[in-house]
Amino acid sequence: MHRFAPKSRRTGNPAAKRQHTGPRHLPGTAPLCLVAILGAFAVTGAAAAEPPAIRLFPTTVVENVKETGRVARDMETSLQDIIGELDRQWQLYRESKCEGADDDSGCQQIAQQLGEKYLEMLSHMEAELPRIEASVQATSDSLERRLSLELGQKMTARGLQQVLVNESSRHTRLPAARGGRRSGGRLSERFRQYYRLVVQADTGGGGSVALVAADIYLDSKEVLQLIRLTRDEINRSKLMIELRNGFGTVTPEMSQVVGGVRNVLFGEEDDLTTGEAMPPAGTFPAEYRSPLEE
Amino acid sequence: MDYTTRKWLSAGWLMLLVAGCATTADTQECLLPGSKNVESAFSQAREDLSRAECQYRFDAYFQRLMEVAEGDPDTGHARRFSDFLLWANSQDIINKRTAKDYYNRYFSHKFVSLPDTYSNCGYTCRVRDEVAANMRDELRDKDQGLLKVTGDREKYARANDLYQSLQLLIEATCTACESVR
Repeated sequence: MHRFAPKSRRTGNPAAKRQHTGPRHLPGTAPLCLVAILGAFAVTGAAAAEPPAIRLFPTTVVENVKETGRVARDMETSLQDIIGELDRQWQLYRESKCEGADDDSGCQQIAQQLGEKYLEMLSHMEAELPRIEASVQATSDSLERRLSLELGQKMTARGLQQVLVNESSRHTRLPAARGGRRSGGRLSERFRQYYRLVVQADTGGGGSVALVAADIYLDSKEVLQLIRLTRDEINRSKLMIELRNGFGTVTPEMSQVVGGVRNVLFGEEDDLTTGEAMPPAGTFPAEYRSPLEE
Repeated sequence: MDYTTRKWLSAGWLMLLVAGCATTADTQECLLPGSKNVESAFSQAREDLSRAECQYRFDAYFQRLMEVAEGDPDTGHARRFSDFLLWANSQDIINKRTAKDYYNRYFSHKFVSLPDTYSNCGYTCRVRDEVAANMRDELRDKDQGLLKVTGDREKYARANDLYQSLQLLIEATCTACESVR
């Protein structure tokens, strides 16, 4: 208890001593002072019990998330037709049994069209990817700085746990980032959902702010990695086309690049792991709380 | 006293001495509770641990009690173990910190193995693998305490949730720390 004694008492602070030499309080004001002092202690105590406020989503981050969703949607819309057309031509190529039939003039024509469409997609992607990359990079960078500062430098691992426990006591469920990140689905849809979660978390109506931030940050990193790989593939493909000086040959790389584009923009099957199922509320009797429990 | 009588008396003394030693050895050995009955096991543990020579085996007694309680799961076991740990603290067998760590490790959804001294960027991220391994071990102990001993599925689900969320949060925090560094 002595450890928590006011500093003035322990050190003989002169300022504190001076108070005793000042004018005496009127008897009627003493209870008011006492109430004020107790009130101040209560406020200090409450502030000590509350964890420090963490600010992970300043307006710029929220705007970045929103912007990424919008850019991704524009890109998806513009590429959808080209990729749809490519799919139809692939199908025609396969159904016509053109694989290995390079001398057939009909197959050569399909391969030529396929190559042209493929180049169109590459050019489109080459023009659009930097925009989306910049937007995702901005989201990732701002979150990176906030996470490093707020959770990395200001907190211990036990502190992170306390943040989660406090947040989960405010929100019954943590909708995002439960048992694994979302690695599928359309990019625009993912960022649209993120934006919704950020807004909800910020207004206290959604899940854990820290978890939402962690989820978006790690997902952004993953998307950036995919974008870079796809860009490398595009460059490699264009170089190959230039070297071959034209089309007429359908290569496995083509389908790999189209697959990469699909992966970045349209995702795959949603495969969210749900974690341990929670029994319905009220299933169990009021739980025992030990005096040892922290 | 003739020779035969003296011989018999000596033999008798020798037998008594051997029997006496055997009894002393039994009580000195601090044998873990053999009973499968939870109440009997707890009272034997308390009785044995009241003796100074058995107190060094506190952890073994605790583990044995957990095993016995596993055989008869009940929500009331959390209180039984809490009382036992408080008793052990009152008897000066373990300190309050250790009592809390024992209880929370097995019966709370929170993780006591997480470091709490230095910042995440400065410390946790450097020993991330160790932290993850400790958390895994603790989740296994919570599985024993919360699921097998008390049958508290709800609390175990919370512990499991917290475990996964912490993994994600630590991964994101450490990735950010490494990139900013």
